[in-house]
Amino acid sequence: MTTPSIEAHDLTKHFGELVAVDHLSFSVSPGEIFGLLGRNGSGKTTTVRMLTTLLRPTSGAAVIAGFDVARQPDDVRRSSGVTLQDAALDPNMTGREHLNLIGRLLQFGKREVTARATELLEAFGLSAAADRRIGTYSGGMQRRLDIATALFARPPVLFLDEPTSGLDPQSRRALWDEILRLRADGTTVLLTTQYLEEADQLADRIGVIDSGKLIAGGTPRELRAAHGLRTITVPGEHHLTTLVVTVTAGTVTARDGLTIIDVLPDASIDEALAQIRSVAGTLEDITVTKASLEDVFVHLTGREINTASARSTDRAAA
Amino acid sequence: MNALTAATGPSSAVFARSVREGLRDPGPALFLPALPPLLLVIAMTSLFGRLNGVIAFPTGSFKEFFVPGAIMIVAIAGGGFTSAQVAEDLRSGFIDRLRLQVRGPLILLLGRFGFEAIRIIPGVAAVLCVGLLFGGALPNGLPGALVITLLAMLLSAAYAGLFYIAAIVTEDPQTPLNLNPVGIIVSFLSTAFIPRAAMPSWADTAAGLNPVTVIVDGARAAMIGDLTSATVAAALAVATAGVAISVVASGAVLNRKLSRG
Repeated sequence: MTTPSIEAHDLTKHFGELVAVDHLSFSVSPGEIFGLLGRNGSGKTTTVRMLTTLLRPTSGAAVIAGFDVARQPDDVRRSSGVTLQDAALDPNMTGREHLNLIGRLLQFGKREVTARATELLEAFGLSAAADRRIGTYSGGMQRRLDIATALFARPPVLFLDEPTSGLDPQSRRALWDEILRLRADGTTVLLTTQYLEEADQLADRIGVIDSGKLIAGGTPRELRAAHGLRTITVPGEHHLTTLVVTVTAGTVTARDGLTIIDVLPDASIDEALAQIRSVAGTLEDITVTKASLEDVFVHLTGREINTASARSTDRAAA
Repeated sequence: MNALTAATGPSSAVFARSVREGLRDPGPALFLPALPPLLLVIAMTSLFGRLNGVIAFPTGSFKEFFVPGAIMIVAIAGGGFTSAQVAEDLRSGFIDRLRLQVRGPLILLLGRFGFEAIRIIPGVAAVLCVGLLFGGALPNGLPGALVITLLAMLLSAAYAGLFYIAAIVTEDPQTPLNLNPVGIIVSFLSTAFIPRAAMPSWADTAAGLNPVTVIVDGARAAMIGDLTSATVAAALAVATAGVAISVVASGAVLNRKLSRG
């Protein structure tokens, strides 16, 4: 059995009365992208800060690349790279100066620092801007430089805390490609995000976090299958309630010339369709909508992910 | 890798970053600290050069007495230039990026203390030269100049700790700059301007408790007195202890701040 690259056991963090992370347990296999999905203030950032030794857990344990975060923080830092929620860069430095500083703090030799900085600037498409002040970079360029920084020491584990937050769609897509390239190179990635599409596109497995607790986990497909509502839409307003509810255990709404039937995860779509046809006759234009990850999230938390809401809440919790 | 190597490499990287910051903004970093003492040297030696007859200066001449004090004021005027960047690093989260690469957060301050020590050298040289032109004396020659420069460097580093602590506690780049008036009090309640014998009793008591007094007296002895005297040795010891206290205190405050997450 492969040893996980990231393991969290009952990880808990209290800030006074506030329980920011509540007995969180999960593991991430080598070379896997694990997405921690949750709203702002759900405890994602606090979790990352504990896993990267920036914050001491109130209780529980975590092991990164075989090293305990509490007892072997230096080893954890050497084995992992981190990008924090806001790109942590000095706007007055150039991209090259920034990478040189990181390399020297990591105690690489001067020649090695220069070579690695040049290599990373090329790899992340920043060579042309290498000697410009970071303050002049776009948000996407700053994010790329931030990730390049995290990769300076070629860590086997990478933590990305909301890496595409605030980026335009084009920059977001470009960054997704970078993250997938890292996985292809064998890097284990823990990604926190509040973007459902991002989690769906990138993560091999997703953990849904709400109020500091991990409330569900699995592959996107598994989550949809286990928690996602599917919807059958039938033209016409039919009185299907009794019969369909017994099959789907969902709700039926008839309005505006349509009948909409929510099918709960454990119900069979085929059986529901057969029942509908037996009651309403053969109907054309029946549409079956598969559950989206958003449906899963709403089902699990009772709330939508509100991307515009509480960025400050998460920071306060962190 | 031993602990010394682990500290010196990253510290020199932070030092180099501070040097770059200083060269990007040389006015406040390198030249501003010299401006008030230069003006003081010109004004005080021109206006009060005849004070000798009123107050008994231990050096026999007000001008000779005042120039070493003015040189020490270079270390205090414009103190803690790099503290604003410390606050900015904390506020922006850049400090997290940096501390993820090093063994302890204190390493991130050591290089800055180093820069605080060297950035005043141009100012010290300027005030020394102007002071000599305006009636100061340097019978101890180059060794005397080197010792007085060393004392000013140590005082600058020691004094920077106050600004670092303010920057770390508030995370506000402006707050340390607002502490600059403290330098006026610290200077006037020392022997930088007049001997203790000429002070009112309350000021004399304060000057006796002020470590800057010991350092200024040592600087004066290094410049125009006995370079090998106990006064110089005491000044070096107090200044070095001041640096140590500043480093330990600001490191502890930073550690405490960061451990709270």
